[in-house]
Amino acid sequence: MALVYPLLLGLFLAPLLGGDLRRLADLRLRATRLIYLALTLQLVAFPVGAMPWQPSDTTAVVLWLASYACLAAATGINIRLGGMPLIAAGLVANLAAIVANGGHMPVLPAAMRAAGRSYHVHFNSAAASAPHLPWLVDRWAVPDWIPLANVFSVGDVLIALGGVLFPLVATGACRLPASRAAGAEARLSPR
Amino acid sequence: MVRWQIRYIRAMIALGGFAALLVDAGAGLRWK
Repeated sequence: MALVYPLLLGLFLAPLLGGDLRRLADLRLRATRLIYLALTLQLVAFPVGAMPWQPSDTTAVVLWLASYACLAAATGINIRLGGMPLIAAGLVANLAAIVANGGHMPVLPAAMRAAGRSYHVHFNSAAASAPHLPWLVDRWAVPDWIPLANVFSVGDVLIALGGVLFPLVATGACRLPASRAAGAEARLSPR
Repeated sequence: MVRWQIRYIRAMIALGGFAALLVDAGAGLRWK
């Protein structure tokens, strides 16, 4: 949930950097059904609150990986939107760490201590002192005095950067080379 | 419904979908 913060930061910065929030209405995010399907799969795999079921660990991992397939497809379909290539790179990094370590995201003991947590396996996360692909696992922690704080990985950092960039590009506060080219093409093409 | 309301709803739908993508994609942050 903490990954909503970068989006809020981008929305806050956008008008300060000359962006126009009204342009968000022209945004066309495609494949939203796939995104919500992924959300549903993750809720089934990792029930929260009073949800009255508890899938086996294997079932949860399979559902979780299926949700990642949906997210990868949705990200690919929207890859031309600002920030999406960063999010795609973050997804790949996280998925590589998960698959290389048997279906759970490893978390280093130091990161877990820094986050004020202690567990062996909790939902999609598993403590590991010597995981495969160690640079891609959860190795840092947001201080626990920040709401929704938790451990995070290189992939999460890339996803967060994409989350900041997305509203900046969508509002015109930040122009990427590709969007400049697209804009020039739009100006040159006859109506 | 007036035009600005329709545009506001469209913006919220797009941002909501993107926020869902962000929180789902973060393997390390969502469900722990």
